[in-house]
Amino acid sequence: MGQKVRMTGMLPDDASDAELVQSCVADGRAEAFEMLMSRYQDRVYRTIGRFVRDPDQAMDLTQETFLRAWRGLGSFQGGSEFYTWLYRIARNVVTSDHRRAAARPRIVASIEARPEEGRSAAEPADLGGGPEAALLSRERQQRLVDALDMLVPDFREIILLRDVESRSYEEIAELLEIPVGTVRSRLHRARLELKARMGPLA
Amino acid sequence: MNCAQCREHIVDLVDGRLSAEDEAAVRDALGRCEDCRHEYEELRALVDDLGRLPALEPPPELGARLVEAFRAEVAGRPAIPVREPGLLERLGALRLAAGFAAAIFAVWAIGREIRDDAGGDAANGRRPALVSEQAQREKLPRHESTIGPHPESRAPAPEMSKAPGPDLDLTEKSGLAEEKDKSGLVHGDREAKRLKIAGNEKDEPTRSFAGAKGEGALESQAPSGEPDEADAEEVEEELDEAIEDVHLLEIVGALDAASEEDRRADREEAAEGKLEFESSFLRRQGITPEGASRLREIARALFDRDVAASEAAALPGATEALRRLRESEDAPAEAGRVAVDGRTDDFRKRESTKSAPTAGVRGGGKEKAGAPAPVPVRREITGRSFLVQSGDAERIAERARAAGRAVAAQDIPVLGEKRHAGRLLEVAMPAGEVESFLAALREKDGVATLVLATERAPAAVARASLATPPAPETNPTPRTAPPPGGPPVKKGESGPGGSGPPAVNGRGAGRPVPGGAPGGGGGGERLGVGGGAGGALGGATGAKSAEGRRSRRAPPAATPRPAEAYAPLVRLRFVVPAAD
Repeated sequence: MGQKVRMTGMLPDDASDAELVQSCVADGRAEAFEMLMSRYQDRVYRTIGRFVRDPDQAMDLTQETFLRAWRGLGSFQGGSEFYTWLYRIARNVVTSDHRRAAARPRIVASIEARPEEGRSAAEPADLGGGPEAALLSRERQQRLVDALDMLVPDFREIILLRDVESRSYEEIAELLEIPVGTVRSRLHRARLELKARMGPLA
Repeated sequence: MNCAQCREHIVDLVDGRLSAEDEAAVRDALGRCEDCRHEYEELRALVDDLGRLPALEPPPELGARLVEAFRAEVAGRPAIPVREPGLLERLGALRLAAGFAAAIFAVWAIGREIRDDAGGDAANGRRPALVSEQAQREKLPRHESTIGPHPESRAPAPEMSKAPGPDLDLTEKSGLAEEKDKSGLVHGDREAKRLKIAGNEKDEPTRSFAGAKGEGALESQAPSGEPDEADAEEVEEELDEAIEDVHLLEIVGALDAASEEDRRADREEAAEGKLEFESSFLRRQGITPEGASRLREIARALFDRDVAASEAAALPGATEALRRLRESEDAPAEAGRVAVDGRTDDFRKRESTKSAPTAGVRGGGKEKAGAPAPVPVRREITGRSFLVQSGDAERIAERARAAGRAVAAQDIPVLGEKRHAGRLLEVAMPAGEVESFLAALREKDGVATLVLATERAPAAVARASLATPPAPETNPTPRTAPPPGGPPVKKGESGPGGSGPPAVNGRGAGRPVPGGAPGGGGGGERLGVGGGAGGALGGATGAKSAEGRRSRRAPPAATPRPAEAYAPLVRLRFVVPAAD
């Protein structure tokens, strides 16, 4: 778990996000933003980590997300939750990174590689794990990750939000700025495609 | 509740969004229908598995790192840099830069090639100067070309040596010059080797399929004129070192990046069922998702290889030799082989045994009056790969024949985990004919196709290819025009130009059309497929116009070319697993 940055000073620890944002914007108090970072750093990191699956890259993109948020804090109108706004920034950061990555020459896995021979280039980094993760065989996990990677970004994102992060339809609708009905239909299509790409369940 | 209604609600059941009453109804329906229940259980299991995917846990230093970066930002200092790139990554970045530079050059070169006279003036011993080879030879003596005219007969290309941008020695970069087929391996073997190479070099994230040193180096020069000479030299040195093993494939990768949106559109179409993608298809073929993934890699590698081969064939010497081979009696087999492999060894062999037809093959010889000039080259710039079902090879071949297209066939050894052999069929045709061809395959022949890969032309290339308006035919130069009706068709040949479309079947006769020139017909009748290996690949090269020869002497704008002449070709590949 990441080290929490403790706020000292006059801002109470239980200040709301809106109060902290206001403190940043109106009073220029950087420590208020550090409190916001402390609140959301782990969540942002995990969310980004779902997309990039590389610890170093996730760290970089988390940093980039917060710096962009700081620079653009003046544009935050408070019309949504702070985290929703932050998520959208993280999403843009990840998307931009994917675009850059797409321009980089790709490494490919050996066609003869087998899981036991070592991790392929497409294989996720060490995702940690525990009893729950152990329930999902490494092979099936790899297949899932591979299949997720093959989805179009919109499908991948909605599955990550709903099925991996267990967000409600309403939360997803707000995060993605789409109607709840679209969440349902897109999620359905995304699952069907993922299922098709996974093939028959073991 | 019927099955349709039940399935409509399965998603809500999985997500717990049904009222108690509706849930009971759905569960009741599931209890009555095994198929519905199976679908529900599969979806349920999938969602459960997704929920158990482990997450990245934030590292302990995350908070401190973020605060430090933030405070640096507030203080106006540069934020904490992201990971310090290692040497390999730096090299990777350089390779990327080189790749992009080369890509830019490639686009420029294509445009230039379109404008310039690709055929050269054979009578004067001149040929198109796609690159400043003279400069390259002087600067890079260690990479003597084996493709193209003999060095002694090469004419300098002063106009090109002054061209801006990095120079590319296309004769070297593909590595095909050295890639002699002594091993007798089919291409799939080589691709498998390349893939394995890539897989064994995971410590170099930028290594491409064929990125191993010696596989084929792309030589380039860093732009000159940097303000700081010492820095510029250093950069150039680094660049030279870094790109030592850059392969053409990386250029392709860089170009592909520009068409990410296109590929995304493809995936969306696939998701909507417009393109056929069925897991059941894979299951019927006994191909696992991993196998499918590998197939895509193979398809990708095949495309890359073909681009490399096309580049090699784009050399005027090779093109000239191809054309002459086609005119000789026993040309088909050799031409086909050459077209597939992109090598010129066989040209030379023939040159020594046949004087008349091959005179001037190396570009410097005097041609007989009235003899056709070297056939210029048209690049093939797109490709699509499909997986089809075992036994469909014949239908595809028949359909291709019906469309007047040659089919090239070759063995490929790896098709996933359960299938270890198969055939690759290649058919090339103008872009405008592709959809109707595929539709006929599906609808009339019942050939199910699974899209493996789609390679689109970079937008800039496509624009350059298609935007040029038709040109008035002025001052034609018959001597340099392709022979009417194309080269003679020998009995047993699939037709001149392999599958290069415009010239096939004489449709390109007497007018400047690309894509149909060399390529080889005949050859073995494998799978009953006419054309033999190389027919389709030969379509990668083709005739450019005599008009192009004129355009070198005049500004490009003053000598527009017929739009048809540059309609991109599409190479269709069908991977056919071996039957049980």
